[in-house]
Amino acid sequence: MSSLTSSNEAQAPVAAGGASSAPPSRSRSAGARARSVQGRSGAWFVLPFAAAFAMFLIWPILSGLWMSFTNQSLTGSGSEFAGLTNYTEALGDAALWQALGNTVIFTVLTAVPLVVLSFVLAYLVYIGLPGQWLWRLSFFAPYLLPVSVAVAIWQWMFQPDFGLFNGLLLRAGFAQIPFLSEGNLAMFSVVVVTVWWTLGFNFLLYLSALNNIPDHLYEAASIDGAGPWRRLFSITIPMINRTTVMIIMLQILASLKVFEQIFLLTNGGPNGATRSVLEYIYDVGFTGYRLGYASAISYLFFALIIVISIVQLRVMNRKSA
Amino acid sequence: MGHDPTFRTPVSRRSILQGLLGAGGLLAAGGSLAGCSTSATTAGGVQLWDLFQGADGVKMRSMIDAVRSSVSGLSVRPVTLAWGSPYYTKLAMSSASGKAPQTAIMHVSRLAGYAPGGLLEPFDLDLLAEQGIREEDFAPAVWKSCQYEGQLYAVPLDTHPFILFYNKDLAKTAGLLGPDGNLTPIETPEAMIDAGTRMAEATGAQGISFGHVTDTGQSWRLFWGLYGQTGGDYSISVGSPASIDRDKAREVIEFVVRLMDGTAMAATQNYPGAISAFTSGQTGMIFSGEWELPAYAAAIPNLGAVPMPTMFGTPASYADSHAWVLPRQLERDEETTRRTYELVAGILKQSGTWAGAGHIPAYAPIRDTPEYAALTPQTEYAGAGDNPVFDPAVWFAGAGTEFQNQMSQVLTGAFTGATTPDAAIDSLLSRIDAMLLAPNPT
Repeated sequence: MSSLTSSNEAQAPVAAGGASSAPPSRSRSAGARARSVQGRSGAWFVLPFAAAFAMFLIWPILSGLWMSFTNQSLTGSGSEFAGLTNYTEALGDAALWQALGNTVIFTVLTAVPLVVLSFVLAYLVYIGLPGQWLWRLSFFAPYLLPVSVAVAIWQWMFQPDFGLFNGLLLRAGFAQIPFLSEGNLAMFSVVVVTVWWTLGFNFLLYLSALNNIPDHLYEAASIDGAGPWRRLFSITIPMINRTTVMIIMLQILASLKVFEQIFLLTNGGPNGATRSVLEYIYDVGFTGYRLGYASAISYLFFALIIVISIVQLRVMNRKSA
Repeated sequence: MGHDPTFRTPVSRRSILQGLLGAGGLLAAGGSLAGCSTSATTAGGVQLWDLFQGADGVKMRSMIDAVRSSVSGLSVRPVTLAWGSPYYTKLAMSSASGKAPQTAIMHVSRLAGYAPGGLLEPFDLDLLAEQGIREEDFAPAVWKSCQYEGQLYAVPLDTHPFILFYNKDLAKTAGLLGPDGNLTPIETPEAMIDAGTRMAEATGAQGISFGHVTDTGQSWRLFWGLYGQTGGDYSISVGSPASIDRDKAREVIEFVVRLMDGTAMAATQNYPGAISAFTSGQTGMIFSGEWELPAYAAAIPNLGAVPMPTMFGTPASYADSHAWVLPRQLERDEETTRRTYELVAGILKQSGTWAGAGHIPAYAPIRDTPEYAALTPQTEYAGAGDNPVFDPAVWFAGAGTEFQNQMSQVLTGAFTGATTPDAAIDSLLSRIDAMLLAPNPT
């Protein structure tokens, strides 16, 4: 109803303006009117989303920030203002630093292969390996699996004694490898699972970017005598630069947020060697009931991610400029 | 209307809006109905939460059904949630909000974190007695573990110890059976290593399974039970630094390290891996909770079980107990309370069924029945219920806690040789101290 009223109101000044001064261009005023009506009725369509956004994102963010300054517990007790004590505790918390280190290591170990490997695979498919549909399917299929399934498959393959890898090793007369029970190896195992499971998404982005490169560029280059390597480095890679920037950004953010596969595969073990920051927050908040402290860690991590994103944007913009 | 062109299009903006409004209305109605059912408990019946899945879950549901049909007018709304820390998170949150289920299952080891904070309500002994449930029906140690400040906060359903299962056929091949067809008592650490080695010869692979890698409780269960066997003292209470008998703790850890030589016992099994190694005959024994009994019994025709062999002098098995508790309610009316007590008492009297899942019934009138006496291998390890070693009674300890997780991670590191026993003991103590210092959130 109010959108109707407002459109009537919008009409009046235009008419008045038209009468008093030099006649404005008819098409312009009609366009402005249409835009304003659209704008206002559009607001009603945006409202449900805006309400959900405010309720499930803005409100929790603000209440979480408040909580980080209290000693709020999950069991409802204690919501007294605690000032910065949660933050100072976090800075001296060795377990948090270990989790942060693990998260950074995980991010480096996954982001590099997930960008490079997905490009290589997409490129191989793009330049025409025979049986394209099969490659597309097999590279993308793991991404369709729920994380629990992906982890369950690998958990069995990593089994000591009779898992696929150790079974083969033992049969071939080698010693078995403690994939999940030795700190560094466990992190490596998590990385392998993650790369296998999520590669398909970047692969698909790269494939569509590659398919968008106009063929005539290659034709012209061929006529000029450019070989396959020259075409790769002078046309293909520069042409998909924007996609690469986007993939790197998304990948780093996704890797920093790692939780599910670690929670399911190693539960953060052995001895905290694979516990990520998000899992630490979960442990502190939902197992240890310390919501205030967990919120403070979340906010520190949030700040860190924002800093990383800004640095990344700056660097990437400079590169692509 | 039929002439209006907009109505001919399959989907108009108006119809979408009407549809959305309708759906919104339905949602709102559903929400208010759900609201009704939580508050109007008498009409909705007694809501019950448990954490039993698999065979345990099936048994619990059949017990509930049996109570439902034997008590006239009793309506029950059972909800099963996933085991572990998420269960306790949900229980704590619902209790804190006062809109919890009328009754829920809880590990007795968690009581110290729940009762003092007011998340639970104590049981009324008179009402329990009306339902035929009395103190003398339970083992004194178990009854005592359910109390806090002289009040009863939990009614125990069972004791579930950590024990040793073995495959009788393989044990026979290995020459480990006595003349009575049962496992010859293993009374020293050396005898256990020897038994594991001989069992490995019989299986052609390894002797004993123990799934602990990345598990959040297993290493602690094994260690704490064996430490209990040494009779070692300990002090874990808020307000003072933790202490433990270092020599005895080291003795236990060193024993497990020696046992995990890759032959007598596999060194790096995880929980599901250990179970499948045992059920597929790759190992002939397993250190395990009795709650896995149905899975083992289904795979191994001749299954034996004993309480954790007494290798360090004093008989003791790590144990916990499933118990019914009354989460805090904003309002609890008399009728619903009576119904809740009827349900709890009814399930206790059905716990013969529960014993089928491997658990030792806490309710003596059931434990003393000839039906229970005829259950094998349940009765072979029922003695473990007489010498239970529970978690330290501090707010942060117990089943599914970060405490057990941290202890298990340190111990797993020591068992696999990643850290020395002494470094592990230091780490255990410093982690416990950190928890003793941390603010109590309950």
